[in-house]
Amino acid sequence: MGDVVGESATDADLIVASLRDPQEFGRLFDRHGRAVHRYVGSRARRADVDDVVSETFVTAFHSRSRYDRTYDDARPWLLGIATNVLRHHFRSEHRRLARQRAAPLAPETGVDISEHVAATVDEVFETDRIGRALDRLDDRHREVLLLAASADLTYEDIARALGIPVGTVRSRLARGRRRLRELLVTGGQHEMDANNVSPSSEGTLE
Amino acid sequence: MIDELELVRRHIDANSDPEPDLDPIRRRLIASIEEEPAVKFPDRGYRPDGRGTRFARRVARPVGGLVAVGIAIAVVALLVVGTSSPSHRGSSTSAEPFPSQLPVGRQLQLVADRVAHQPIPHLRDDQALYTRANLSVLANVNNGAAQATVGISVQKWSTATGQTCTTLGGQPAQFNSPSEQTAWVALGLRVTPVPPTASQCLQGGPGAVPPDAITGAGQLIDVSSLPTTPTTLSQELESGTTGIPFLDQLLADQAAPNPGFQRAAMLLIGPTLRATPQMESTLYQAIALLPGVTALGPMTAHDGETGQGFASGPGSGQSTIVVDPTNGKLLEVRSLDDSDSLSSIAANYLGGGPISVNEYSAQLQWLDPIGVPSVIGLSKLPTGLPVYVFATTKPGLTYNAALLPVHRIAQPFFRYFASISSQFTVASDPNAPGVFQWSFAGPGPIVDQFMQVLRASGLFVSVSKI
Repeated sequence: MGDVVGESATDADLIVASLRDPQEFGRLFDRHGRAVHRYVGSRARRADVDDVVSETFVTAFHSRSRYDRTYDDARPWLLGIATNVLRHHFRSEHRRLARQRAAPLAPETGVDISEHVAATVDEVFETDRIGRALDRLDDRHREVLLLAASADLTYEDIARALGIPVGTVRSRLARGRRRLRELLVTGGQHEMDANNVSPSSEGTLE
Repeated sequence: MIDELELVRRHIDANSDPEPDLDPIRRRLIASIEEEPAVKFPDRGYRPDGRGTRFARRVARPVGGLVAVGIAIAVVALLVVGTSSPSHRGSSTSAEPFPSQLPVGRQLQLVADRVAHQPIPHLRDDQALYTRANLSVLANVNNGAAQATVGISVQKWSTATGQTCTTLGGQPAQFNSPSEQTAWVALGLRVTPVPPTASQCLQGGPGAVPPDAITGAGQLIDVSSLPTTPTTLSQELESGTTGIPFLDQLLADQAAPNPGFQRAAMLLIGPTLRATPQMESTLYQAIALLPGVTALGPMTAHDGETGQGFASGPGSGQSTIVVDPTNGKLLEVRSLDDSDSLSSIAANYLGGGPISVNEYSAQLQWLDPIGVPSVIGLSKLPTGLPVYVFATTKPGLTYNAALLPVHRIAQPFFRYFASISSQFTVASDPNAPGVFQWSFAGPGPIVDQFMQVLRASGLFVSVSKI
């Protein structure tokens, strides 16, 4: 008889199944490895992405017994772990963004840059400009923005991933977008540094 | 106009590999997985609870009881339970063969040692424990005039506060010969139950129905009061003095062999409330101390899972448990005399014509828990489940005294009920508070309105829903 959890199984089902049959956890990677890779890729150096993703899933695997089974979708949980791994992995994300600015889009894996920027020079310009603007954002706002943009998480999912109230997600996202817009407009010439925002100014908008 | 999030998406797209090679990462993950001992965590959140079957050995039940069950079923709405929930069952893997050559006590001690490290999640008040099982019951009617094997699937949602919903699905009766089927039908019984499912929800709290049977809707068994030493637990299981009434009453009037083993098996069937890894480990150690317990070696459950078998004694026909030795999960229980196994589904086998059933008995042939008990939020109960409203009268207001005023209050809502209201008292004491239950076809404003009316009546000490 089969002990296999069906294709229609939720992530929670797979995680529960993996408590008995650890190999089942591999299926969770198959489902969300790409999404986590994309998110990590938006934040980590290209050379570090695989390590961070790997560490994320290994960490998730070892902590799976604590997974809240009331959530069918494990993606926010995985991205939250990835966020923590990233925090520990880098002393500052600014280092990576600064590096990217120095060699924008230069592939470190030997991939032809033209594959990535096949569109237009304007697009390259634009994305580099966004990269610089992201660089100037506060970490908290950048995390929320990148989770929303890279993984299309809902407010609730982001809240779950970061362990913060939904209202805080809304306010961080709103402030992050506003600052990003300002930075894109000013090119960062005006010191609209998000880091100047004190935590107390960040309200929750439940 | 493109918003900021879209710009960030474009930035990410431009800087990320659209087709990353994930295989190296996957290999690293698998390597890490394979470093873990075969089964490190338990697959069950909550477990054993002895479902309180009254364990009478083929106790003859008067047909009146059957009819009463039938009436009860007739007034309880059917739960339409989705079957999309996948099995949680993982394979029973083992890093190395279980040393089944060891004495039975050593084997059970090994299981106990592993159980002791299995975490058990906490069931909050806003959560329900969802458990499933398949079982096979041998039904014997009119002292052997007819008999059949009936397969039943059980789904149960239980809260820590005692509310429980149970749905039974009855399979077509199986017969050893055409003549058995003829005898069955001649008594006015159906081969296929109509309807094929029967459901029941019961309330928790004061006056709640205690655990009754594997297939019953009794509440979770609170095992927090069980002794923590194997010797004491073993003695209390054997003598029926655990302090858990339903457990102690099992086989109390029977000369059953090794009743302690059967009580332990009932605890393993689960689910329980407030179980701890230590308690479950103690239970296995207690089983090892029960007289006559025998190791049967590797066994395969009816659903194909393999584990180690232990019986209540030597020889055939003994009550048997099959457990996964790597984590202590119960894979199967065999040969329990459970006169309540058919429970509320029994009435669905009654035919529409003349019925000649005078009595029947039921024997649980085997039971396989399905998958992993899962903890779910009450807000995530399956769609299609009816809403049950429970109300308990204030102290001093008996069921009989409350019946008429409650009927008047509920009457305007009759047309919204999923069935005629099921009103009952669960206590034999006529002076006990009455417990009333109504079922609605589904959630909606009318349910809340009805509850408001009940509360405003001043008749009830509690009004709740599940």
